[in-house]
Amino acid sequence: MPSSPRSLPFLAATGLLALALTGCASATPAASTPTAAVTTLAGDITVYAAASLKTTFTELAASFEAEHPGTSVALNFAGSSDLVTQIVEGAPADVFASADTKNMTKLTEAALAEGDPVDFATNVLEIAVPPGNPAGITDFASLAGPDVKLVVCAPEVPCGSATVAVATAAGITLSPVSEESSVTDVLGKVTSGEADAGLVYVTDVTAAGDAVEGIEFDESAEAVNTYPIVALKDSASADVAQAFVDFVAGQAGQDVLRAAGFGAP
Amino acid sequence: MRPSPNGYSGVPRWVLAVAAVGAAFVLLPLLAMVLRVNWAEFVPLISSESSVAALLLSLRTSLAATALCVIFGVPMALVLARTDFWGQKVLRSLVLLPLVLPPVVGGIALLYTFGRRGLLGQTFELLGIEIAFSTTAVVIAQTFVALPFLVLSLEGALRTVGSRYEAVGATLGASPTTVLRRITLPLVLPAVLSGAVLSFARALGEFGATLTFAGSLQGTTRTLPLEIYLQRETDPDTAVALSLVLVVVAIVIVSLAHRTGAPSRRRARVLS
Amino acid sequence: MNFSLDLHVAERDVRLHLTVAAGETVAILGPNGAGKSTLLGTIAGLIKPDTGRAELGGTVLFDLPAAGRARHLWRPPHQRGVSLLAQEALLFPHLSVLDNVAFGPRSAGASAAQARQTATRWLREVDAEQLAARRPAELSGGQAQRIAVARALASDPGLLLLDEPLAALDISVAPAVRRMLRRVLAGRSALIVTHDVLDAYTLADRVVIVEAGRIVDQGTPAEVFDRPRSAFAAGLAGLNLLTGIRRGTTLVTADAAATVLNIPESAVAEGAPLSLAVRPAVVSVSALPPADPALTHVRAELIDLEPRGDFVRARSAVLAADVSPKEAAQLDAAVGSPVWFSFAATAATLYPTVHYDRTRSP
Repeated sequence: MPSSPRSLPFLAATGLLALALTGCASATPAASTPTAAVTTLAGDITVYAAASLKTTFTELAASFEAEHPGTSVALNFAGSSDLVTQIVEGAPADVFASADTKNMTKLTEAALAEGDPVDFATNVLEIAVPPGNPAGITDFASLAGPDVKLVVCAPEVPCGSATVAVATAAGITLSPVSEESSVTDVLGKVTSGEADAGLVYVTDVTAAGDAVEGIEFDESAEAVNTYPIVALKDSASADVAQAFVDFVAGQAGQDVLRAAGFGAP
Repeated sequence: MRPSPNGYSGVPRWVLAVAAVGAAFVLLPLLAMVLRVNWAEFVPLISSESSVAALLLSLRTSLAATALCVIFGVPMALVLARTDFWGQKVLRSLVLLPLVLPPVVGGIALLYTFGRRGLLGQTFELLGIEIAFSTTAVVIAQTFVALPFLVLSLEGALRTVGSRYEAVGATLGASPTTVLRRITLPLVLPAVLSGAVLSFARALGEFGATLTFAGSLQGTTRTLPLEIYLQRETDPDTAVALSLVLVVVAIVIVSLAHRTGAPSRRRARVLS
Repeated sequence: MNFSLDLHVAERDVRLHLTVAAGETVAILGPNGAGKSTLLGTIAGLIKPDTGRAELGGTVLFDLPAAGRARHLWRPPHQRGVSLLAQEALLFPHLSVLDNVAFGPRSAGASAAQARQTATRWLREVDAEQLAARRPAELSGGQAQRIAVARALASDPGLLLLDEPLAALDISVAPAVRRMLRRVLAGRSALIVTHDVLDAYTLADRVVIVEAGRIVDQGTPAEVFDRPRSAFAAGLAGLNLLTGIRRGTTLVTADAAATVLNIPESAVAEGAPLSLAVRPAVVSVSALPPADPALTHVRAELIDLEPRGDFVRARSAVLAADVSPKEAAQLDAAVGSPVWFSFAATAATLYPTVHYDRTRSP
């Protein structure tokens, strides 16, 4: 390589510039100030979200990634209590979105949350019936009819405790033929035609589209499920995690959630 | 370790080491579970109304399913082991399908068959038989997943025993039914019993197909595995306690199978 | 009962016609693979032939005509009244000896008590009454075979089939069982497949030789074994067999491989096929031509010397001779070279070679 005196400063300058550029492009180390500019956000996060948030959060994750290239959002959907158990046992989550406050409390009591949880949506129950409404359900009271095959969530899960609250408030005794452990299973029994009616969330009815018909009822206001979200401590990409939380609670997130049928927090 | 009767087992030492690792792999999770049990609350937890209902339901349905497995499995094993027809290999693979299918898939298949809109659903509804959400559905689901166990172990035993004794019986004047009753079945009885016990164990632990096909209601369709699944949501202590009950019942059953299997080994030596 | 059989199994190349008169015991002998087991299997109903017909005491056991004809009958084994006794006793391991023997009568509809009575009687017949309460696993080979005979006979079969019944037994035990068989088979129609000439002589009224799926000889044991028509029969009878054409006072074997000189007088015409049978024990071997020219002799290459207990068998392609060990030692050097086999003319049996006529009855 020629090393004439004139080319040496040129090489040095090129070298310094290259160094500066590589320095800028490397990922920001963890646990620094969360006030970085939007365009320099980068990192991978895993979001543990309740099963009822599947459609909305998938959409939100895609938008978030589009807005912040350099980030990637992995999603894990399951029942809220399942997720809490996994996180408490050490699963590597960065963000947790729960379908009720009870499960979120378990997390905060275990001192795993970074800051306070933020309520970002609410959900109420709706009656789902197979297309054509074969059993002729009209309102909440008709669910207690003698020949109605009603499927609900078991009281131990969030949608089940909401069902109990609504039934108590309405003063009606329900005799379901099955108490499922997840709202997905309830919906499944309705879409397959096995059940005449099921009590699921408004968002489930919206997501199911033509597979079910929804019947709103007034008593649903007696049991409103509030959905909190929080970033987790010990996250490897704390700034990205918090940014996602803000995103969901912010206008973009709320638009998507509202469109899916969620109520305001 | 006690040496084998004639002093030479022929098992290399490294094989013993690997086997020990495998055994630990299976035993450590059991141990971990046992350590998590809330012993102070154990008895109240497992004797609660829902727990007892689940256990009794599980035992009742598993026994019924086992009976069905024997009634249908013995003839199936006989046909697979003793006859020869075109398509037999395909039939055997299909019959053993529930062994490899995820139980949930089995449940979905049963739904499409016996459900309200299923293949036979309309017929049953006309006859006034309601299958969905009933204990019958639980028994059907358990039978579906447990049947291959009996067929498989019995078919193997039938092939091993061979049909020479049946041929002799025939030449002595015994009709095919008499041969079956007095020669075939007594000779393979240990295999029938151990197959039945395995089926019972499988039926007892059945979860996915029951959940999808039968639903979950205390006393009617919520078997012990379903109860554990539900309790998990709110009361991990109960879930672990009930899990331990299921494990103990399973261990008792498996050791029963092992003991009924032993006479067949003795008999096999006699036959050879 | 009278029994007749016509049999054709293409796959195993078997084509036979056989009869057994009422009360007659027929022994079937033949090399392995000759089709003997196939034969018994078809009669018992366990193997289905291509075409054939069998009739026992007026009842058709099976009738499978060549393709195209309407009648087609196959009686299942349990309706034939034919009992099969194999090499292995195959006693039912889960039943006692008495219940084993009572199995046949019970299957026929007898009450438990009646069946047990019949069983006890038959156990007495085979000298095994004291074993009634035992389990098959506790029996010796000879005992088990006795029980198997009792079991086969207790069902009162019209025809009893025995497939090498003594082959698996100890040499010391076989004679007693053979004597018992002789006693119980008297007056019974029976077909016995065996490799043992002693079985044929002791038990059979008539002998049938089967080779390559065909019957090649039939007759009383004396007829078949004193004047064997095939090398196999000769081997069974322990005889040398030379076949060829008569040329004056010589017998020229096939392919002119050997010429036997100085054969005795016989009724066989010049140029006609001739068979000569002689026992190895009366044949002498010498490296030089025999001193006495009146002896019948043949020159052949000495292939081998096989020790057989007290004597040594000197083998050639045409003849074998039994010599003493001392003589064998002297002949050792001659192995591989031609030697002279000689015997007294009176010691040999000569008879015309008549091939077995299959169309002739029975």
